[in-house]
Amino acid sequence: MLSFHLLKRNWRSGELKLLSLSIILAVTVLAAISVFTSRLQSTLINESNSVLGADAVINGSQLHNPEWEALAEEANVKHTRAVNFASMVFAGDEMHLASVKAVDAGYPLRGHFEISKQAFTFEASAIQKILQGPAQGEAWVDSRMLPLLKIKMGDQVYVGELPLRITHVLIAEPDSSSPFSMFGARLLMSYQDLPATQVIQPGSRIEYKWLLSSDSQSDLQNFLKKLKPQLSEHQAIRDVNDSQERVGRTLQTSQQFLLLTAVIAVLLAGVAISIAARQFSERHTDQVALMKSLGASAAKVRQLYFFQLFILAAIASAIGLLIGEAMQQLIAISVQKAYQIRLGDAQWLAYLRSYASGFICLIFFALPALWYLPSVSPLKFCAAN
Amino acid sequence: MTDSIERPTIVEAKAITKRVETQEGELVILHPVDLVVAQGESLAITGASGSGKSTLLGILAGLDLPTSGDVIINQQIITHMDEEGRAKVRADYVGFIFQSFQLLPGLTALENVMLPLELRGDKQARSKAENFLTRVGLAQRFQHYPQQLSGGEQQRVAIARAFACEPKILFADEPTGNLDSHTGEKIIELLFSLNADQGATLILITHEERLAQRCQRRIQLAAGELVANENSATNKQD
Ligand SMILES: Nc1ncnc2c1ncn2[C@@H]1O[C@H](COP(=O)(O)OP(=O)(O)OP(=O)(O)O)[C@@H](O)[C@H]1O
Ligand SMILES: [Mg+2]
Repeated sequence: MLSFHLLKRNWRSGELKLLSLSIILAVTVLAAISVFTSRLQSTLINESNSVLGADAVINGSQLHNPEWEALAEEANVKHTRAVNFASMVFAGDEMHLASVKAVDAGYPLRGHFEISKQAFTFEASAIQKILQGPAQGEAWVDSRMLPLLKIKMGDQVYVGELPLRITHVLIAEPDSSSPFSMFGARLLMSYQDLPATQVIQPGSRIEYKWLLSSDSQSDLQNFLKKLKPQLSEHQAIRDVNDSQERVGRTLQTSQQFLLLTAVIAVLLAGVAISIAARQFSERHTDQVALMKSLGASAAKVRQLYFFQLFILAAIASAIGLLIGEAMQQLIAISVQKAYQIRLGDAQWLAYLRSYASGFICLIFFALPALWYLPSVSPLKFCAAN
Repeated sequence: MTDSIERPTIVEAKAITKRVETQEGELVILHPVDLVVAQGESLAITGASGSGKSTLLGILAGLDLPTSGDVIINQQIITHMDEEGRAKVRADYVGFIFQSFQLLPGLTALENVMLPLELRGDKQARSKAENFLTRVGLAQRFQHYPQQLSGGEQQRVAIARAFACEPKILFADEPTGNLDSHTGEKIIELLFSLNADQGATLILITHEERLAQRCQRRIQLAAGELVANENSATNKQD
């Protein structure tokens, strides 16, 4: 294909280097930022959905009223329970004041757990997403609890009187907030195992949660309206909207900042592209005039240059995407290390958008300079000069 | 021997004029010019500087349009065509040799010769280009860039490029104008020997008596008017 040969020759003569470098730069910056933003977004959205583990939660220091469960079912509202408390956890001679959470069947109503057989991992392949808590007799713990108690996966720990086998480490959980979390590492267990531990005595400091969700938000709101007058002063409703708003704001601010950076970078790259394109166009005026005198029509010239630039953009954008992806991963690794979070996956749209941006930049910044190239008139005889 | 009359016409100009608007008013570059060139003929256009030679050649070759009048190449009235149509005619029938060679600096000698062949989608572009570069004596210089070649060598590349497409009509504007007389002579020899092989029609502008005499016919322009149209005293030598 002639365009490809011409591209190779033009590349060899160095005329395309600035142009391709500026496309690579634009795509690199955009890819790094938009892919990273997309991962951040998916992380935060995941977290905001599961921040409560439900659409709404009634918090309290007392067990909820069993009558309410009947009311909830009547109102088409799903419900489940969770309990937070601090308790000593024993393994041989070692002990640790853990932040225990016991969850009932159906927990979480929104979001999911992320668990692993491998302690301290961030590797996606080693992490399992699961929609329910531990079975009876099992416990999932923070990775750090293993060295604290000098135990390993599969060992037993005691919560009060009850031995539990550690089957997984807990990587992420919905509703990770707990008034007791400052005490220590998390231990997650089944609500059904709770009585056997005998740690819950009248007067223990305990946080009960009644989690609610419904496929119909109006059903849920109606139910909450009915429930509100019956709540004691120790019970409060938390709504997913509160947390989503907070997460949304954080996300928006960080996104705006990152996108501003991207826009500045792309504009700079755009200036470079348009300078390069003007230079390219000037250098190619003679070439086009000659090609036309050799019998190439304007349409042929347009097609030849269009394909050259298309191939160039395709290759340069691919390179930019690769570099951007590498940069994004470097940033993500350091963010994950620094904040001990696991970033979600980017949407493939973020990659597509960055790849396409190479072409868009070329169209916006280079086309004006190149537009009239095909209409250069064929080379005239200019012996006089 | 004036055998040009019996041969079919390949290029014809009918009352072509060229006028341009300048700040000092209208400038007439060509007064009505009529010209008939037969197939296989060699024609020299002479005349003082500024007499309109390059303008006439550009119009005959379909690179430029006359203000009035028609140009007919191989029975096609190119002055009635749009730019695309004229480009097609150029691709099919016409080759050029420029005074300033007009090689593309980023391309090797071989690629420069290949370019017009590639533009018309010739599958044998490479072998044809190699063949013609060899015929102009540049077999060792395929991969050299124009700036690595002397003026004479560059013009040989340009000649190879022009002949490689085997055009029916070859236009040349002072092909030896930028060369010393010794090199110019060699280029003239090359031009005529290749032309003898291919039997192309040759229309060239020159200031050099030597070159004009090699042509079968010469016309002279003065201030945009055809003042002489005569067969050369010395006919084409073998
Ligand atoms: N586009 C134009 N606008 C104004 N004047 C023009 C234009 N084109 C040509 N001319 C003028 O027309 C006259 C003829 O030009 P042309 O290039 O045809 O001459 P020439 O015979 O080839 O001269 P030379 O031997 O120096 O190459 C010149 O005076 C030139 O300045
Ligand atoms: Mg001239």
